[in-house]
Amino acid sequence: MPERTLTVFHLYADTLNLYGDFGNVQTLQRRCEWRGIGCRVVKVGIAQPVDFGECDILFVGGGQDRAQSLVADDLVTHGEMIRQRVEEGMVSLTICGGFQLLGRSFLTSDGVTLPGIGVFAADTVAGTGRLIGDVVIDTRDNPHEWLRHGGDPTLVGFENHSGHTRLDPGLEPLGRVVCGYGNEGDGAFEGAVYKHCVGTYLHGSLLPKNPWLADRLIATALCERYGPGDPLPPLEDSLEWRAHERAIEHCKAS
Amino acid sequence: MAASEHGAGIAGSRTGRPDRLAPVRRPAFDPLRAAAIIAGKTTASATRLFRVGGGTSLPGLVADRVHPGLVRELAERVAGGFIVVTGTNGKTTTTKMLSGMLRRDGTRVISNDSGSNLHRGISSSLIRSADILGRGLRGAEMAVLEVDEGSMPDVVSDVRPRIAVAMNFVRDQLDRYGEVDSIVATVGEALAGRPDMTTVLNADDPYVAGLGRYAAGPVVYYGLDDPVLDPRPDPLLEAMYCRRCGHELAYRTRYYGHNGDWHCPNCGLERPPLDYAVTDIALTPRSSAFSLLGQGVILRIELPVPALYNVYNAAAAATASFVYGVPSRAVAAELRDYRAAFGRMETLDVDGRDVILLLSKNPVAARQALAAVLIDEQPKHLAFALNDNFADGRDISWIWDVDFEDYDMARHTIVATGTRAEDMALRLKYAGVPAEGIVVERDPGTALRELVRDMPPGGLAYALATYTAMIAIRNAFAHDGSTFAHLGRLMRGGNA
Repeated sequence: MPERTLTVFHLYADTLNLYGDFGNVQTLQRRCEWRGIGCRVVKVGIAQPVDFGECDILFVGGGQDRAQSLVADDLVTHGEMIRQRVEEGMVSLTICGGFQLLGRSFLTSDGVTLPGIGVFAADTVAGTGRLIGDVVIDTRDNPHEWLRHGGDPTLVGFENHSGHTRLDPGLEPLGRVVCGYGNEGDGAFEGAVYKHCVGTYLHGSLLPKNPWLADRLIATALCERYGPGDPLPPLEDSLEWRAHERAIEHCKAS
Repeated sequence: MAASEHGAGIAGSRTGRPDRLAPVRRPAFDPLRAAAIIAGKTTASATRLFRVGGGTSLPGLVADRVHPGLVRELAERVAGGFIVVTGTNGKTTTTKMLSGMLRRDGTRVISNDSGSNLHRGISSSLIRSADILGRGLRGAEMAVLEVDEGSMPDVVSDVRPRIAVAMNFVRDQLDRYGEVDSIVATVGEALAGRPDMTTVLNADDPYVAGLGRYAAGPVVYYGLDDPVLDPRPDPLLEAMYCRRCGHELAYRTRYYGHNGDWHCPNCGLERPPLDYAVTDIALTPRSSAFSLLGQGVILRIELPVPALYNVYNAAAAATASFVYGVPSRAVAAELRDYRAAFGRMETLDVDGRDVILLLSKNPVAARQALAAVLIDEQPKHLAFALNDNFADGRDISWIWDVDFEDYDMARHTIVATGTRAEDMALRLKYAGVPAEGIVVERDPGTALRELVRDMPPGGLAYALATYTAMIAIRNAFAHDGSTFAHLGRLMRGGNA
């Protein structure tokens, strides 16, 4: 029995499961296991009663439009609880559709406004075309201390979204776009960070080839649950970083 | 359940065998049309000579500029008409099976290849096969075309098929098309407004079955009906929802992927009744056998290739053949002698060892390929070739949806290759393969040589590859000439 265990809530795993979201959850789980930290993944379905007090890392992935509208109403029922836990410091990673639904609202291409839960002070409007391609962002100017790791501050991934997400002034983006489209398709900024909650359009999957972000999520969640402790022991990550470097090279070449 | 929900149905409206041998009106000589055909053919030769894009799409573009509507005119001269085959997985195999069945029945058929299943590529293929006077396609009475889902509206509008076959829609190349729902709508648009066309649909795929309501002409459903078969399917990649009420669908029997006997527990919508049903299925690692029932047909079919998805491919081809009027002995004989299509369980010689090449271009195809290869516990030599070129889909995150975790991957010798070899290796590391045990080599030819290096001569290895990676591998090891020669033979209607 490991001394310390983290609980990951994978929200709507059966409904919002596009673009290898499994890879992100799998990465959190493996990188805990490899360090002797327990990791319990709870798949939370629509209309399933859950206690977010148990949740150390909340993960919400992306879905097709139809799936997204199915979960939007259910997510609203958890809205107050999730907002409260985020205020308390719960670690979250939300990608694509998940990122949009944690904003205030999402105006779809059918002219329907889906409600968000307002963790992020941001609104999304469906654009006419899809923003598709490899993407690299640089997080060095992100002011959130908990994201600092002393190494390469870039994140690599693949984006495929029609939504344009506009952040209110005061909400920090996750990073500056090095290559790719980003939140509003203009190649300026990507994602958002509020407290310990990250929103982004990067899948690919995101965490396997950005091991530093996976480790910051794990370390921060451990600190929230068990209080400050030793830094995470490093892992043999050369393959992860080779894939990271390859993605940068690939993005810049295209 | 309302019958209208599934389209017109076929009772009393089946087209039957068309009058394929009816005399065709001879068109007057049209110099502009001839010029357009010559321009297209010249472009085809020139692009092939210089290896520009494999010479696939430019001829259509050039000919279209010289004489717009040329393809439509050519298509009208094809006495036996067209059959188009679409869907995410299995188009090439089904097209090959179907063409073979028609040939067995003595029909001269031409067909395209998977490298030219987009609208322009199909136009180019037809122009290359046209006789210069525009009287039709040289030596062909009819054509069977595999058509990319996104090109269906344009191709159907051009060639006005007698029969359209739709097999399955799964997540594949979302970066190109957006979502499965929008693909269904695109194909639906192609089926609407064509009362003279019979639509053949896989009833087991809820997305495909839903196309029935778009079809203006007769609809024929095929599917599996074998509740005692225990295929132990993978967990669903994502839940399926009722197109009528939005409730999650349930399955009485699920065969693989989201194919099965589905129904909606909320509103009662269910799989349409099968016009052609596959029953009594027996699967072995090397072959399959099944019975096909329907429309006065009772057939036992032996298929010398394994895997349930090939049973679906065979059922699609057989159903389309029956609708066209091919006798059942031709259908059964073609399937009995079937040889795998290009890259579909094809065997290559790599330095004296056999490498079986399996196309694995999306999670459903890759899961099926893995299940077919890892059917026993023996340690194996496996290459995973992941490219992210346009034809493969630029987004590679689907590899995380392949259920490697369900197998003990660490027991196998593994090479990761392709333009995204590092990502492939990383995927396998997180599936439990020690990173130091994975060879990462971007060049597929070098990678396959490395894979077989410690194997005895005559040994057997497997390569699971995305589309362009498969072509690269075949180019590196094919000993019967280049891929272009191979595709050329397919184009001329010979056997692969």
